[in-house]
Amino acid sequence: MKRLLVLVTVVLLSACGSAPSGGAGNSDTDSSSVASLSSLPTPEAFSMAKGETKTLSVTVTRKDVALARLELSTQVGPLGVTISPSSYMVTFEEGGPDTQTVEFSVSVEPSVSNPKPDFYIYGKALDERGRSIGSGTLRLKYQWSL
Amino acid sequence: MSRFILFVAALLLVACGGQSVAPPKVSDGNATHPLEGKVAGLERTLVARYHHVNEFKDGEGHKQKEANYRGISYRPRQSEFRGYKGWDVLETPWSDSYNADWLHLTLNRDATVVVVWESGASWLNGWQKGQTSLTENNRIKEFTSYTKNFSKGEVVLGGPGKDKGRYTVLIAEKDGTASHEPPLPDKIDERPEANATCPSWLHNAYRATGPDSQEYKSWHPQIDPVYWCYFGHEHGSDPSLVGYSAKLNYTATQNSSQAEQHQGFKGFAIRDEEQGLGWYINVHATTSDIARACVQFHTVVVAVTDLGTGELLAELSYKGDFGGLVANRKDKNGEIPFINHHQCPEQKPADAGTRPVKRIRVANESSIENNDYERWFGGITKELGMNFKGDFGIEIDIRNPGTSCNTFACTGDHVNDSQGDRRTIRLKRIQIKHDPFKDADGDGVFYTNPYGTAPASEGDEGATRQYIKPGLEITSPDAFFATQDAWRARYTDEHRVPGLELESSLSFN
Repeated sequence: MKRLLVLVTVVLLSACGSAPSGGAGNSDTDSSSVASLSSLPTPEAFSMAKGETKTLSVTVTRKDVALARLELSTQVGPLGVTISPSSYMVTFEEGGPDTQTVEFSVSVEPSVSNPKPDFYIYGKALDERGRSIGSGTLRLKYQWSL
Repeated sequence: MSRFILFVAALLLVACGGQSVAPPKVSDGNATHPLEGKVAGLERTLVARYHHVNEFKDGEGHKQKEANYRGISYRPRQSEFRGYKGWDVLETPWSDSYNADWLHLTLNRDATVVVVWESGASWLNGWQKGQTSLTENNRIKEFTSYTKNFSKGEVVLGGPGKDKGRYTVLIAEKDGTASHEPPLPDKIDERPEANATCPSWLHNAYRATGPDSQEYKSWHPQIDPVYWCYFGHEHGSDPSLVGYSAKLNYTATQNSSQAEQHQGFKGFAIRDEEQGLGWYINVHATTSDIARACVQFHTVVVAVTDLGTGELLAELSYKGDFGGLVANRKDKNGEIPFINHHQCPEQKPADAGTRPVKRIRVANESSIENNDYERWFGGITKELGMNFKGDFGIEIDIRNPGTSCNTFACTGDHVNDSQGDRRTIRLKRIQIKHDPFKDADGDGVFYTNPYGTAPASEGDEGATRQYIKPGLEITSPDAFFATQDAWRARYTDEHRVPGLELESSLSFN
């Protein structure tokens, strides 16, 4: 019986491991037909130590003139990681630049207990009437080991 | 004889269309705030909650009442009306309703309430009449003001009626002074702005201690009830409705610190008064991310409390099986098409006996339409001491999923511009039974892998704590539950499922 349980567990774990974990997977940029999102440091290069504060530069590039605003929002999983500001509205003026950069301040408290903290930065594309446009939410996923 | 008269009177009322219509169940008081008692002088906003009553006839011609939140917006200390500068503002929507029972707002303390309107109505008889104005774009607009003092508790105002425009409600302290901006905790200088996104520090204040003694993020309302800032997402039911506190991310942390999107945790709190049991079920069921289509095991927490004593009876945390993937609608041949996901075509239930399955919308296939509910069946792990009646244990329906698969191969998503906030749950007589063989020392605590499928030892990597009170053997109702309460979301045995988004604040869900 114990062997069977172990076997089932191994099968389940390997089945899970072969599938994406519910996030977007690490990628340097996320792009749609209306905009792209990238950052420095990139999600793959992102790493912080306990007690550290780091500036994260997120660059939004407009690819469609219908894009009037990109609502950037941060979501943190574990306690002990804070990002400021929590959200940011990038506005594109007619005739204005197609690329804009926003800075976020990320802090990891010395007391953080999760060995692999994570956070997401989302971008929601809106037209000038505030309606969602494009296909899907742009998303950068950051996860690293302490 | 008197019983007969009452019976005839009731029959007459029904025949004349005057049947009593149950009001929406939305009166569960305030959720707790994590800073109350810790920050001197901290006070909640004057208004705690609101809704308006949408009255309509259903498909069978019966009158129905439903809570509605659209078009209402509360803006603390933002009035620009002459004589009421800095008062709280409650904007109300247009409505043809003349009902005296239309707008409900709950006051946290005694207050002065002013209705500002270009028109009037009989329900304002007895209010003190006056004048005010508003200057917008260098134009002065005159209004009639109607003033009345109210005690703490619920205030019910009438509908504006057809073609009579909207009215605005202004609220101040009982002495007519504007409410004060709440203080900040020590060492915090980032002030939450009312009607804007809440800062991280406030989000982090909602926390609970997990089974491993570590702290985790916990449930919070859509809008912070002190600073009135927006969290931008919602977690369904307030678990304290059944005396529980949610430790979001505990299971994911045990599962190799899996990065689970915080906004995806959706809870359902059900009070089974008949048996005296409180059920809190949380499933990581975000619909804003199509990556869910390729994830078979989703985080589930099932907690049961004794409603009489508050005792925790069971707390099970695991990655629940929601099986394979199919479309949510039948095609023109009456068949349910499989979604043969390009990244995970082999998804199928781990245990054929539990028959779990996820039924997801597909947008761009001519054989089916991109509408109807997204439905998740499964979520029960028998190795934990759970069982159920019928084909599945838990069914979660999401009536307005945020995204659909683009095709039957699900190579991308289709955005529906919906918030995924209209969710229901069906329980199929879920049983939880203590198993002394799993719990050798008889304290109710045992450890498993994060899937709940194999035993583990405390301290092992991935060991996930489970608890079933020794001797416990309970069964959930076999019933469907929904909620109309956007503020604490208690699920009851009703069938009305309105949208719960407040003030268009849900950015990501």
